[in-house]
Amino acid sequence: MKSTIDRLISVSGLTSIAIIAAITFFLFYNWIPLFDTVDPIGFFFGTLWYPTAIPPLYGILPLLDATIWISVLAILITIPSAFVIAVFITYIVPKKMRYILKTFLEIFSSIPSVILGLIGLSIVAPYFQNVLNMDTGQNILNAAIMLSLITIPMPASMMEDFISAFSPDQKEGSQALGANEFETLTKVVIPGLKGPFASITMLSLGRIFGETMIVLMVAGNAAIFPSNIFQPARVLSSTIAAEMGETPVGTPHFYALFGIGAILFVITFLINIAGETIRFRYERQMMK
Amino acid sequence: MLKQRMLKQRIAFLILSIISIGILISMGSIFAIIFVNGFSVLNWNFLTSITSFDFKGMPHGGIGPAIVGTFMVTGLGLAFAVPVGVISGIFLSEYKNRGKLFNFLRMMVANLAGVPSVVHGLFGLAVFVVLFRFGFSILSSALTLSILALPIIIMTTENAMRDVPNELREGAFALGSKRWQSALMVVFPVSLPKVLTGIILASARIAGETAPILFTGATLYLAHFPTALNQQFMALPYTIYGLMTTSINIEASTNFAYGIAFVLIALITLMNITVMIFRSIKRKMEV
Amino acid sequence: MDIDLKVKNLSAYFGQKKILDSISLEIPSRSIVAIIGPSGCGKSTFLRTINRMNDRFDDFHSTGSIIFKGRDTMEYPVEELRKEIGMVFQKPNPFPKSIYENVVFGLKIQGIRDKKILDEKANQSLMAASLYEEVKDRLSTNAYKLSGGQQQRLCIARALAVSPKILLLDEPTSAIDPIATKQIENVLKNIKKDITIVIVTHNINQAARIADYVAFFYMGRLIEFGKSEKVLNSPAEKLTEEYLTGTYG
Ligand SMILES: Nc1ncnc2c1ncn2[C@@H]1O[C@H](COP(=O)(O)OP(=O)(O)OP(=O)(O)O)[C@@H](O)[C@H]1O
Ligand SMILES: [Mg+2]
Repeated sequence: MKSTIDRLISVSGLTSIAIIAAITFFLFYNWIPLFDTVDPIGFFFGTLWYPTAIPPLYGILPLLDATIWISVLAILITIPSAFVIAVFITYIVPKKMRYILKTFLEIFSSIPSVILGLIGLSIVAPYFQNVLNMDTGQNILNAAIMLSLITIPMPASMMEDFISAFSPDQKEGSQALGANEFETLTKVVIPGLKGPFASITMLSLGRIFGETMIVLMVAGNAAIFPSNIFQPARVLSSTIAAEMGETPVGTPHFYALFGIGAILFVITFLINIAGETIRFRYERQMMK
Repeated sequence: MLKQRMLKQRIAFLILSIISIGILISMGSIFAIIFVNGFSVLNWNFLTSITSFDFKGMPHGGIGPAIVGTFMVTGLGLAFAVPVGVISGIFLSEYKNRGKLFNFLRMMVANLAGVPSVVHGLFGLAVFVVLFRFGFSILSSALTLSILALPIIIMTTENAMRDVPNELREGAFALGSKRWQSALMVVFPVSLPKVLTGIILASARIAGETAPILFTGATLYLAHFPTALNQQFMALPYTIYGLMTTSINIEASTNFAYGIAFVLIALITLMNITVMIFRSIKRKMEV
Repeated sequence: MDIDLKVKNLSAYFGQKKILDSISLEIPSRSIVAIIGPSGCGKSTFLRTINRMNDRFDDFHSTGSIIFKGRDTMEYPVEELRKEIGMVFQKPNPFPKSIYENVVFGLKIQGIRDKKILDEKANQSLMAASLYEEVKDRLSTNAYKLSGGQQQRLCIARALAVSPKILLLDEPTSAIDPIATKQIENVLKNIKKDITIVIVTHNINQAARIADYVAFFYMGRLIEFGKSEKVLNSPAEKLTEEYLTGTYG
């Protein structure tokens, strides 16, 4: 028999569904009016983002392109680094250090991204420009590095959990066959953990893709199609952050920024679902 | 042959170690940089007085209003998020703890945790600022941040409650408990320390967020301490951003920003350390 | 002789697997009924079907009927049923609360707040469980501070506090030392004047010491049920005899 309190708890339990639904609704609700004045083709495939020009141009392609550049570069730095650290912690450092290092990673990952932005802006950028002689220090590479630093702890820690928990009997089995630790790692552990690693990669990508402040502060904010990683760029998320403050409610610009938000939301949603699905499938496989 | 293979392992592990240590050192040096640069700015006046800018854009005074503002939005955000989050966590662990709806709900919570924070900002703008007419205010920002904190609290509560042994539930049910009685009167108190850990982690997270408050209520400059929930407010992370991107006098602003970064990291690390201590006490108790 | 619980043709399943097979059995009032049988034969399942503890499992279902006070147990709101049919588990499972809070928990969840009633019930139940003398000066200490045997008696007191008609015990002494076991057996013998007791035990000597009736289960079926002297000393069934003489189990 269900009491009132039981019912109340059940209703509150569904809050997260309601919020996801509300987020979806309000993003689209504030995006659709854009198409009263702007051609969808011009929005999705326009190559110029000049929201304050006359007439304004709301082409998101350069933003999307830059987002892909930065995300791909950042994930290419993040995942191998995370893996290396995970192996380092599992196989190389003494047991006692394991807890300390993981705690350190956890604390590091809690640094607000705006502080990484500060470091990127005040230390890395001048270094790039003055010492490495780049045209500008605020560029894709800088943003990708700072993004990677803040992201690495999560996948590193998760990979470490998997590697150290990965059925020791399988490891022992391979060691009994005369393989040393490194061979076990490359021939048994890595192939066996493809699923989790793929899922961790997706989760990290989701984070990198949506991260705003770092890119806003250190990527240089130029809405152009970058041709190399030493150029400045402006991504989807940081465009919203940079422009929404000065945009009056109910203008096409306002709607366009919500459109970017909706796209960002949908893509991260899909990335996360993919990650979750892979993990789910792996877990079920393990159960069998 | 065997020697060769061992050599290969040695070399591989050596390279791995060098890279790892390199990354860990650069992470550590970020703490060091903030500590060194920030500490030199720090004094009582910096922590307590009001910020002002001179005609060259040089920041003076302190960050009192930003500290108070950050505490206010974080505290208020938690006040909204904790009851709902804890109850949702209880629902996932004690009510719908398996089956299709459960899998779906869990997926939604994970997805909510993965929503980019700037999207939360947009949502807050559309709903709290515009629709509910709370305007650019502490209230709007706190509500926005509470949605960010929600999935963290839900997940930690659910896991904490799941860790409570089933015997206790059965004991309660065998006495004629209803579900909520077993959940709230028996299981929840046992899981409370872990739930608190989750709440602290959630507050550490939202205290440092910038994007969700960018256009829901935070402002770069406020001549006084916040006094009401419908006011705009200064916040530590937003002030760092503002100083670094709008100021004319870069050097002075950077110093000032490092001071704020120091305070913010100190605050968040303090919360983290509280959590670590909590956990290690618990571990010792279990041994 | 009054009958408290009438089990008719009870079968129980986990998924497709039949765990109990057409059990029929009448449990007389104010007696101790011991259920014995080899591991995995369904003793716990039988007990947990009586107070519907197995309802928690999605894949559990049962057929047949269990009549309690003239009504099928399935017709009761499950909380009502469990107030009338208490249960004590194999492993002592006090709540991590004070001794006092443990004992009055069942009353509090019924909404009873009157301190006088609670105190009185707490004392009575602790006395009935022979725990009162040992804990009367430290009712507010945490129940986890008690020894295993004391914890189990606390669990009995906790169950008695809501005045059940029947008390189910699933191997209540298997995790406890011999002296504490003796104490619990004495408690059960004392309280049976007010309450019907169904106890699962692996220990045949225990059944002989305390039970009025013995039911022997084997692979989900009730093989033999009767007065304990009869079943334990001159069983009618060969299976029972083999079990008692230790051929298996
Ligand atoms: N929750 C469950 N899900 C599926 N099968 C179960 C469940 N609980 C018990 N069973 C099965 O029911 C059968 C009887 O179990 P039960 O616990 O009733 O035996 P028992 O006589 O109490 O044994 P023991 O003396 O070891 O306690 C066993 O085969 C067991 O695997
Ligand atoms: Mg059993």
